[in-house]
Amino acid sequence: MTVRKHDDCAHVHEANGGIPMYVTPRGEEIFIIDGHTHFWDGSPQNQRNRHGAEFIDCFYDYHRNLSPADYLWPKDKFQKYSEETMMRDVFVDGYDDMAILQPTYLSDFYVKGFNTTEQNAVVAKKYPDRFILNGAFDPRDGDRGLDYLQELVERFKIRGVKLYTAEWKGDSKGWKLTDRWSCQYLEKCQQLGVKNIHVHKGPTILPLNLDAFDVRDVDEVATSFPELNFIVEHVGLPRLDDFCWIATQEKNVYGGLAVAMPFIHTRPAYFAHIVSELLYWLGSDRLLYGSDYAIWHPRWIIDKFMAFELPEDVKKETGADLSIDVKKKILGENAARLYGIDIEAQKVKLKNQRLAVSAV
Amino acid sequence: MPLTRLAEDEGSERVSAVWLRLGMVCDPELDEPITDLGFVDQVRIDGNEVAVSFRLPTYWCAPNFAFIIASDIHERVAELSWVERVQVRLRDHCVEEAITNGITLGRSFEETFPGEATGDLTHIRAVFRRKAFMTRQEQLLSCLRGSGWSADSLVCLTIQELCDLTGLGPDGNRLRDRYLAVRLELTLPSKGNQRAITTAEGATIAVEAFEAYVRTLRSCRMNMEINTHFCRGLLRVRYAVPDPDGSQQAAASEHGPVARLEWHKSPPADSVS
Repeated sequence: MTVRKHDDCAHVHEANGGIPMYVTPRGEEIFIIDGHTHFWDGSPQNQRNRHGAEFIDCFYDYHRNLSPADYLWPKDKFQKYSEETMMRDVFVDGYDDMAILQPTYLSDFYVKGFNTTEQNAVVAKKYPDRFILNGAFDPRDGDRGLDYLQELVERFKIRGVKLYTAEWKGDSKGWKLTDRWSCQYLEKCQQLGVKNIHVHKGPTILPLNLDAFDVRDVDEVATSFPELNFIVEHVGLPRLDDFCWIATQEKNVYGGLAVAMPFIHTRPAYFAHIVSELLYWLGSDRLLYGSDYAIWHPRWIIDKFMAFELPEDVKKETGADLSIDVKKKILGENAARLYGIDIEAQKVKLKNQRLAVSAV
Repeated sequence: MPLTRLAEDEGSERVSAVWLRLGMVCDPELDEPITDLGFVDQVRIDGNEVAVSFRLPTYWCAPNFAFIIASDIHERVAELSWVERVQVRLRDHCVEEAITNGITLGRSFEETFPGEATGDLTHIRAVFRRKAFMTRQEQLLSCLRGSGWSADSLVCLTIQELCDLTGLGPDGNRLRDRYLAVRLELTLPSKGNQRAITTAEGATIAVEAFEAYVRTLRSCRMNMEINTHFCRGLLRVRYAVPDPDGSQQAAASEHGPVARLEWHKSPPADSVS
């Protein structure tokens, strides 16, 4: 199996064509759980309207804005990729050992949905030791949605959900975590043992006159639901300072690093600022790596992250250190704790598996 | 991408005047002129009527910020004495029609988005002017500290002394001017003998609290810079705008790398339209 090397960090391919684990130059294995992956269908055939076209175009702009040149995809591939492509990118060429599939429904924009729990379940079922399947809910679905949530738990044993508060639905441009129905859903999550709430904020949540990226509603629900874990995707960027202020006080608030990590490529100084602030305010136990695949690739992100060192002046000023132990936590140990994964046991399971994925 | 400018003196003057006005409109979140950010897509001047078309880094940019920009464009351009009518158009955006029509009909934000707004944009404008204040102050302080100013001397610096500072260079002067301008905007104390470095609320800073204060400023500034970097990059890939290198930056700010500016002289009064 050929391997493209993008830097000097060592990695190992099992001689029998098994799946590589990330291994440092000193021989240390790092178990990697990708906190945020998608298996979407954004193709023109699935687009319901202009918003559907523009949504995937926006993702494509994110991809082109922050990816190294040799990882850029043509638009049609980006709109819809195959299962084989994903498996190869995420687990073979990419360093992920496991990945959380986070659904994004967007039924108003896509005929079959962008990537629903049910769609993701097909690939998750094929590779149950590789994927963690998450569900989703929309509190605007009222009672019917509560039933659906129950169904997802019974059918797929989900332990987490992804909430997209800016999702458009009919005349509604979004909802807030603190809405009455949302709280009912969160209560239900608590009852059903769906402990991990991944929150994605977007620009059109209501009311439109307020700052859509304000993370204060996370503060409120984190206080009201202490048994739940709230993982704020892209660490509240572009309101990182507000996020840090909340997360330092609410110990059940976590930061998902998708969108932040690609800055290592375009502006390492910005990534240094982001990660040192997070380490200062949150510590190292509440940060989760995520690639947001297929927006970014779990190969170059990990390569660069592992090679990344905080500048001395930043370390001195913040007391933060992105040591190998901290990196291990961010890359897998923290997610493993949230999702009840025994890393050593999982390594054994995966070592003996082969992925029937043809070489590039 | 070249500008379309007519040789006609009056036309060139009007085009420049409109462009200067547009340079006074800042993206509220990024605190940078929309002309510098590349948001202005087209300016058309037809006699005493000006039509401005603009776009944003993504189709999904927050409607409130988009409305603020559209509204400010309208207000700034309308201030020109010869302008009788301003048309503002937002393109390639999820609520482009609502905002374009709202501005055209002189509607408020709440009227433009009935049932989806609980108030006007005063609060969010204030939130972001405060962030702009902190960012501009931090940038100025960084510059001065870089030149050797101590915390002691900075907390005591008066407004008159700040105005009188020499040797800052063009960048430093710009930072000083931008800081003083935002102080005026926020109606902060501006008498010569008053302290130049205060909080956004006008409170002075004790020297022992200075480092901690600067930390919060820095955090605010970095957020804004990161967001600006991200947004500029998105706009660049979205519209295939070439990367402006340093040497072209001044020209780009003045004319805009992608704006199409057109001026049409109105037909004589007695002609049939």
